[in-house]
Amino acid sequence: MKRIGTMFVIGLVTVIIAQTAYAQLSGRDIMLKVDECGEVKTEYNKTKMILINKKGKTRVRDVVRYEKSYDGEKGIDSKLLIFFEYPSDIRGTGLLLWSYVDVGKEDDRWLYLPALKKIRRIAGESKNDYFMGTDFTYDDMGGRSIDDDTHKLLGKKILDGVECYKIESVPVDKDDQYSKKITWVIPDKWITAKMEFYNNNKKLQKVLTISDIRKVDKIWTPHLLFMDNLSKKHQTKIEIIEVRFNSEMNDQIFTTTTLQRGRVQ
Amino acid sequence: MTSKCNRRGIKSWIDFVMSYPRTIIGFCILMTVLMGWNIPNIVMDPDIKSMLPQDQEIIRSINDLEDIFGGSELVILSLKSEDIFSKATLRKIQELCDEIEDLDVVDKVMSLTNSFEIKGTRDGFEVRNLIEEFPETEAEREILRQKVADNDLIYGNIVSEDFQRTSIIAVLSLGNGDSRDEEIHQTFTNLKQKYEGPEEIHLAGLPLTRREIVKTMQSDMKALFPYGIALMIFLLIFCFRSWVGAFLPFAVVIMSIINTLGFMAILHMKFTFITMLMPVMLIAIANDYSIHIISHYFEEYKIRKEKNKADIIKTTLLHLKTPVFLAGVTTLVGFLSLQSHVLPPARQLGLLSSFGIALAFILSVTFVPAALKLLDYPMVLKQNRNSGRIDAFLSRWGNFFIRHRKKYLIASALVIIIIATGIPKIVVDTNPMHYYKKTSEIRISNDIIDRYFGGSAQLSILAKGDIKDPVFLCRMERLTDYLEKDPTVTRTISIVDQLKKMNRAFHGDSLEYEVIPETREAVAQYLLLFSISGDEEDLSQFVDYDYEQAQILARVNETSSMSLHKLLQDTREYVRDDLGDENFPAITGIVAVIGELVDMVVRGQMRSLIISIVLVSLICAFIFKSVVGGILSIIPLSGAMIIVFGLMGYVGIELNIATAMLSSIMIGVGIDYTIHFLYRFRFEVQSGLGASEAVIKTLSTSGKGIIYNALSVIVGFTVLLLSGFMPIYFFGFLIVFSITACLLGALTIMPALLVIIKPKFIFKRSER
Repeated sequence: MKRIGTMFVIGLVTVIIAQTAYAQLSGRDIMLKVDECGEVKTEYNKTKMILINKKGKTRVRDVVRYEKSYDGEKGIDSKLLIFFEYPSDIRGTGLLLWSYVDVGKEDDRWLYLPALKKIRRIAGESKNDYFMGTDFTYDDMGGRSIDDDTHKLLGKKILDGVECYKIESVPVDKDDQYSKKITWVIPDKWITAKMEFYNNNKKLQKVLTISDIRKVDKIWTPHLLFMDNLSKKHQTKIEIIEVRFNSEMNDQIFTTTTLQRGRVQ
Repeated sequence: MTSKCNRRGIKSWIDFVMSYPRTIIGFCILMTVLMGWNIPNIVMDPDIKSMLPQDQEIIRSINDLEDIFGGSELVILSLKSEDIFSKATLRKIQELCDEIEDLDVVDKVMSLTNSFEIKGTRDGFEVRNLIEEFPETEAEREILRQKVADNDLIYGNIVSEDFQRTSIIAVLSLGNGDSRDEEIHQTFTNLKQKYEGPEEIHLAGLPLTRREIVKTMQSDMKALFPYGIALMIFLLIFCFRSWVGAFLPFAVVIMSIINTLGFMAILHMKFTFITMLMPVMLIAIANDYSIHIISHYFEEYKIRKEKNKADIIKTTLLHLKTPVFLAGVTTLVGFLSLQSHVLPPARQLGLLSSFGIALAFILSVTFVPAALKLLDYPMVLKQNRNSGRIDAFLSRWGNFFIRHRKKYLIASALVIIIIATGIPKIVVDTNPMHYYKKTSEIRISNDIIDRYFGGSAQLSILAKGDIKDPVFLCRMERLTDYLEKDPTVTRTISIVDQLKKMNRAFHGDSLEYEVIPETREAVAQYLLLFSISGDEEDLSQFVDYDYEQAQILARVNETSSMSLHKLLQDTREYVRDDLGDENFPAITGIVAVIGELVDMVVRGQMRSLIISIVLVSLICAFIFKSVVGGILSIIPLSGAMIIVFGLMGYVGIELNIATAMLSSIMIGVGIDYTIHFLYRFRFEVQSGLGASEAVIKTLSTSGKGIIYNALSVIVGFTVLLLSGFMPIYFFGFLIVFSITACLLGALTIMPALLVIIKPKFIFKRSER
């Protein structure tokens, strides 16, 4: 009886503490949760990338993507393999990327062009931060650590009928590409619903809208991402056709041999 | 010549004017106020593209290409330093770039500090900043120099070949308008001031040129108009020694200018540096008719003081109607012949000036007599003391040319023939940069860009087809190879270069791979590679989103407009004969505009010259009812014209947008002197005088009027010498020179010819 009572008390206290903690979540706490919920061991997806220029002309590319997190094993942070499947004249073109825990260490990048049947290493930085003609920068796609920014909870705001946390994130590095970002986070799912990016002149540069959120392998996953680049008058739509999390991925996938094969067996 | 019915019509008109002078004056003033109301709506247009007919293929395709590939306008900032690779200078370039990049009007910046290089290595390739760290030692700087010299995208483009200068190229976003040009000018001038010293900074670019044109137009208007008016008033007072004599022609000119400006606003015409000439033209020419009427009125008044004003005015108008009307008509014909000109601004100026002149003529026979009726007799009417001396001089003058007529005619013919040899030497120049003196800041800056960085003007060519197809790319390459052989082209840039560079980099930087990839897939994959390791926006300037259209840019060192014209013609021919028009449907860009204008200036000049001279001689033939009369009238004029064009060839005054209008204006104005002379001469012969006596009589009567008239035109046009635009300055010089030549032709060649030929159309009736 005493035992039960103790347990009850402990239980009650836990609930109270949890509730207080929940009520007092800071901006950083929320962003950390978003980060953690997105954390997976492996991810496979097949997407349709639709790029739209200012005249409304489009470029469509089908991309298959394998990503595996190594959590610092042998200094490796993660490995990524991308194949293009459509249009047919670039089918089989692949990109292999190894990124390292050590921030100072440059990523290893290999490229395979089937038309030339050759693998090449690409060294050096990218001439610009945008990823393959999209409106996403490498940073936008999750290359940032939680403490690269200082986060401030601005309050709760209704977005499309859902009450979201509205958080302002200001980069610690004053030379960052953005002056600030505003994120709307859906509580419970810990998913970003919308993001605004402000450039160095504090002008709204890009707006990301996320929709079609479905649960895949127990993880809330957005299936439609739309980035509107206001300054370039360019837009990117990413439709996720197929996605799998935490499936078994052989290390052999992330090698130049697979890259050269043009597909994963 | 005048029928009775006609005469009655004019008489009843004069009676009407004499009866209701207040109504007429009131109506003229009211009309002027109403028309003048619109003037603030006139806008300025400094764009060189407006010089071309807007339905021209080139104009349409310039707009199309800008739409597809983004704005092609640049502002180039050139920076001279003792050592451009010194840390201080590099840091300055970096800071400048950062500031420029943040500007709203700027799409993209290219400079030494943000240049990348794609370099092949043994097993791959690298994309690196050209300058990763600022060099510290002389050895490091030397390495950098070597690197720059090896990179042909940088060397001679961003860094001058002597390593003394470097440029920062700002590609501007789409947009236009005076206020935007002004903003661009302000922003870049501020940057220049902020960063200048010890480095020397120069700015160039079309928006800056346009803005300079607007400024010059404004300052020109501020200078030319008041000086023109002041000179006119001074001249009128000098001639008439009377306030009325000065005020009335002045009022006529001002009213016709205000009405014409209002007319311009109603037609939505814009002020270009050509249409800006209109007020000056009217100041110089439009007072002619009222001067004739008033001076004749004064003369009549002196003779018959007892008669009433209305009678004197009536006699004056009846006496003058034919010559004044004819002078008006021929001037109108000259200006209206500008309608046949290919260049819209010349047509506009022709139309506006004709309107103003017609109006001045109408005001001279309505407003002026009405005012004369109301006004008191001229306040001051001293006997011109010089009159006798001038008469004596003119009869000596007449006698001289009669006595030495043969020698004089042969000598003039010889002089004309010799000067005529200068005509083939005439150079056509349509480059807007040459609106300015070589010593002006804008020219100096532009010349630096031309000399050190391969020019700021571009020829752009549209390629249409499957851009990923190597066969098509080879066709594009053939065109760029062809273009690069032209001495005016400093470099060409297209997607072909980018693909070749990528191919080379992908193959370990081996030179033999600097060729177009072999398969369509390879091209497609390289293009994808640009989006991975390069900046895809770099490509958007050269290829459209669907890979169906590409742009070839040829940077041109602006030498002469004629060589740009040749480049344009040759390229068109090569495309048509060797590559097929369907693959390259548009050859355009500012260079093409300059080249195309050359043709238009020449054709416009020829066409309006022929039309005006034919029309004017037809009118003269009609007046004197004689073909010989028609031909004879244009002889002094033709001689004057040959001398003017020959002089242009020898002295090196270019035929440009302004001077191309010269012949029409000269014919329209210059023929008046001959007509006045012939008309009076015929009158004197018909009254029974012999040829020589008639010449002397004509010189001392109409001769004086002709000289005053020409002087007022000459003086009126001399204000153009104050213009900040070189074409206008030279136009002013040439018009002064050519009116003088016309005057001398009418007063020397004409008398000599008449005495020798004794043409039937003048002498037949008296012989009978």
